[in-house]
Amino acid sequence: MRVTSPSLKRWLFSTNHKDVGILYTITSLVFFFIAGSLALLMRYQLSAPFGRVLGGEVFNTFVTMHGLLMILWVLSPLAIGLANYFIPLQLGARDLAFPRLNALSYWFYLFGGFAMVLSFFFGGPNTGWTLYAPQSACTDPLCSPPGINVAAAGLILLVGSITMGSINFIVTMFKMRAPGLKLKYMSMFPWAILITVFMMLYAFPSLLAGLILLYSDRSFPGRLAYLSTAQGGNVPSLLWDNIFWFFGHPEVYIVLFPAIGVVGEILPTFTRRPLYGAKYITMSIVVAAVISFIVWGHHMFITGVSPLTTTLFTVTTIAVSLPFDVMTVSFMETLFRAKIRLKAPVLFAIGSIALFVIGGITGVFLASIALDQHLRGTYFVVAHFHYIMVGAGILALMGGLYYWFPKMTGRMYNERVAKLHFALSFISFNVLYFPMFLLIEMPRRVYFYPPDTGWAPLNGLATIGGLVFGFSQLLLVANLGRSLRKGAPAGPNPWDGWTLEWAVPSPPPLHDFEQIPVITEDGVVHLAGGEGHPLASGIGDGHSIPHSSHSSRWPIVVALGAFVFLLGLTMGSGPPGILQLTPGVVIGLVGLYGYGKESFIVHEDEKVESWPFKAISRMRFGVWTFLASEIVFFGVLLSAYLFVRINSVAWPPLDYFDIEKGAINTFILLTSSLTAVLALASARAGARNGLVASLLGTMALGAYFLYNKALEWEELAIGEHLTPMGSIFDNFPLAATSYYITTGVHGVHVFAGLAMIAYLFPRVLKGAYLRHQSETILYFGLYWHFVDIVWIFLFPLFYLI
Amino acid sequence: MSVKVYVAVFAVLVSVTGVELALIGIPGISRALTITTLIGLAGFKALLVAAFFQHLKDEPRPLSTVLLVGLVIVMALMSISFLQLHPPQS
Repeated sequence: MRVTSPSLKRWLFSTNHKDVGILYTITSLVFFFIAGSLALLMRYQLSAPFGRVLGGEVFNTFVTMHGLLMILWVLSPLAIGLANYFIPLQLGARDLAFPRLNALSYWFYLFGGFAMVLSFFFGGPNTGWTLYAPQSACTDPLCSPPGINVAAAGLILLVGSITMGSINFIVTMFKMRAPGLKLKYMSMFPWAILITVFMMLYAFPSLLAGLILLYSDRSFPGRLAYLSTAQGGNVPSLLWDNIFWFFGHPEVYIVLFPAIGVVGEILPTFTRRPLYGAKYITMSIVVAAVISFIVWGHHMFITGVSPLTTTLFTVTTIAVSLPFDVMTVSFMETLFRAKIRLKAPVLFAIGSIALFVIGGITGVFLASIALDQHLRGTYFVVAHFHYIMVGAGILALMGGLYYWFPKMTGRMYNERVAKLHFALSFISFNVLYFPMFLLIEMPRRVYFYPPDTGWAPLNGLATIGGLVFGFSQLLLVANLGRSLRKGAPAGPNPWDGWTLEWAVPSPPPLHDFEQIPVITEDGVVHLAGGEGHPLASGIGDGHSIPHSSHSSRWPIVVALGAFVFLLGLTMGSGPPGILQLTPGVVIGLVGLYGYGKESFIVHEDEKVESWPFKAISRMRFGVWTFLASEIVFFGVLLSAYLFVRINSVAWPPLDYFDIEKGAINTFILLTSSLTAVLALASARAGARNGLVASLLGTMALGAYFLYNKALEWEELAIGEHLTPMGSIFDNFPLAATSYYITTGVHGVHVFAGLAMIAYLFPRVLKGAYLRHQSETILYFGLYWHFVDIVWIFLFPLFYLI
Repeated sequence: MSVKVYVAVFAVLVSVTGVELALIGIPGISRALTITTLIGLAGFKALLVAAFFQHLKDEPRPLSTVLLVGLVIVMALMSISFLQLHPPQS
C-alpha cells in the first residue's frame, strides 16, 4: 500500500493517542449528524396526523438505525475520543499502553459504522435498537430484512473495537501513571473513564454472545433456533431480552459516566474550588456501576416474568438511583455560592446537570411496576432516556469539546457563538423532549397517528424543538471549524486548569511531556522547567524522551480484513461459501502477519505508579484482562444454555450426546494443557527441543480434539439420532442449538489457539522465545488453558447431566 | 514452578474427571446431588488449571478480583434462569 500525501498517511497510519482521539471525535460527530438527520426526518413525519413522508418500513428502519448509531457510534465514541486524547495527558503518560491496538480499535469502530450504514441498503434492521426476538431472528421478509445480518456484522466489529479499547485503557491507567500519581490523586474524568471501560469489558461480551445467537438463527433456519423455535413458548423471546438487556442497561451508564467525568473536570476549573465530595462521587460511580449489572430486568416488567424477579428488579432499580443523588448533590454543592466564570463549557455542564435531574427522576417513576405497566413503550419513556442520553450525555460531552478545544488546537473558539449554541440547544432540547412526557398515551415507534388522538399539537411542538436543536448543532461545527484557523492563540492553560494536560503546550507535542512529571506525597506536581506554571512547583526528576513508534500501516489492514470477512459472512442469505469468505481472510492474514512482524517500539518505563499491578507486565495484564471479557462471553453462552435447559419442556435423555467421545475429548484437552505448560517450562529453561516437542504435542492434541468434535457433530446431525421423527434439530431444537453453538464457539477458540501455535512454530524452530523471551509462550498458554477451562464446564453440562 | 507440580496437577485433573464419569454410573444418588457435585468438581478442576497452569496464584491478588468480578456478574445472569419463569412454560 502506497500513500503519498503526508497528511493522509498520518491519519491513516498514526498510532499516537492524540491523533486517534481526534479521529474518534470527528468520526463520532459525523455519525451524530447522520443519526440526527434520521431523527429530524422522523420528527417531520410525526409533526402531523397520518404522517408526512415516510412509509412504515422506512420509519422502522430509521428508528432502529437512529438508536443504534446514536448510542453506539456517537455517545461512547465521542467520550472515547476525548479519553484517547486526554487520559494519557492527565496521567502523565506519553501514549496508551498498546498504541497499535488503539489504532486498531478506531478502525474497527469506523468499519463497523460503515457496515451499519451499509445495512440500510440491504433493507436495514427494522426492529428497534433492541433487536427483539423472535422478530429479529425470523428470516421471512415480512419479519425482518436481510440488512439485519449486515448490521450484526457492524455491531460485532464495534464489540471488537470496544473490547480492545477497554483492555488498552485498563492497562494504561493501572500501569502508566506518572511517578507518584496515586489513584486517589486522579481527577474525575480519568476515574469515570476507568470505571466505564471496566463496565464495557464486562457488558459488551453479552452483546457479542447475543449477536452470535441471532446470526446463527438467521443463517441456519430450521436448524439453529435459540430465538426462533416454535417449540419454546416465550422462552426464546425472554432469552433475548435477558441477554440484550444484560448488556443494554449497563450500556446506559457506560454512555453517561464519561459525561459525569467531564462535568467533574469543568466544574472545579470554572468555580475555582475543588469538587465537593469528589471521593464520594467516585464511590458513587463505582456503586452505580456494580448495581447497573443487576437492574436489567426492569426492561421486562410486562413480559410475564415471575413476580419475584419483578420485585427484585424494582428494588435494585430504585437503589441505583441513590448514588446518582450523591453525584448530583455534590455537583450542586460545588456550584453553590461559587464565583462561577460563566464560559461555554460550564454552561453546558450546568445544563447537563439540570437535565440529568429531570431524566433521572422520571426514570425512578419507571422503576415502579404499577407505573411501568402504563408508561412502558410510550413517549414518556422516549422523553426519559433522551433527557439522560442527550441532555445529560451529549450536552456534557459538548461542554468537554469546548473545554478541551483550546488544548487540542492551540486556539480559542468564539465564546459568543458557543454561548448562543448552548442557549439554543438547551431551550430547543426542552421544547423537543418535554412535550413527550405529556404524550403518555402515544406509543413509541408508531409512524402515524389519527387526528382524534389529540397528539398533533405536542408533536408539532416537539418537531419545532427538534429542528432548532438539530440546526443549532451546526453552530458547533462552524465555530470550531472557523476557530481552528482563525481563533485567538490559546496558550498552554487558558482556563487556569489544575490537571496535568494544562501543563503542556497547546497543542501538545508528539511525545506530550519533555520530562514526565513527578507527583510528591502531598499531591504537588513537579514539572521540568515549569516555573511560573500554576501546576509546577519545581523541576521534575521524571525520565526524558525515549524513542517510541507513532505510526503503523497494519491496524487499518487488519480492520479492513475483519470488515470484508464479516461482510462476506453476512451479506448473503444462509451460510456463506468459501469464496465469500476468502478475500477477508486473505486481507486479515496479511494484516496480522505484517502486524506481528513489524518492529514497533513502545517504551516501557520502570519509574511509574502502577499499584496494585506492579508485579505484572503490561502485556500479561492485557491478556488477563481479555480473558476476563471471555469469562463473561462464555458465561453468557452458558446462561443461554441454562435458560433453555431449565425452562424447556423437551430435552434429550442422558447418553444422547456421546459420553465416550466427550470424555476422550476432555482427556485430550487436559493433556494439551499439560503440554502447553511444559512448553513454558522448557522455554524458561532454555530447552529448545523441549519447547518444540511440547508445542507440537499441544498442536496435535488440539487438532485431534477438533477432528473428534467434527465426527461427533456429523453423527449427531445425520447419524444414529436420525429417527422417523426427524433429526435432533426437529426433536430437540433448543438442546441441539445450545449444543452446536456452545461447542462450536469453543471449537473456534481451539482453532484460534492452533493458529497461534502455527504462527509461533517457525520462530520456535529458529530458537526464539527462550529464557527471558518466554513471555510470549506464557501468553499463548494463558489463552489455551482458558479454552481448556471452558471445556471442563461444557463436558459435564452437556454430557453428564 | 517445577515440572513435578505440573504433572501432579495433571494427575489430579484426570482423576477428578474419572470421578465425574464414575459418579453418573452410581445408582441411587439424587439428580440434584449429582448435578451439584459435577459442577463443584468442574469448578475445582478449573481452579487448579487457573492457579497452577496459568500461575494465577503467583499473580497480584487484584488480578483475580478482575476475573472474579466478571464471573460474579455473569452468575447474576445465570441465576435468572432459575427465578424468572415460574412455572416453566410450554
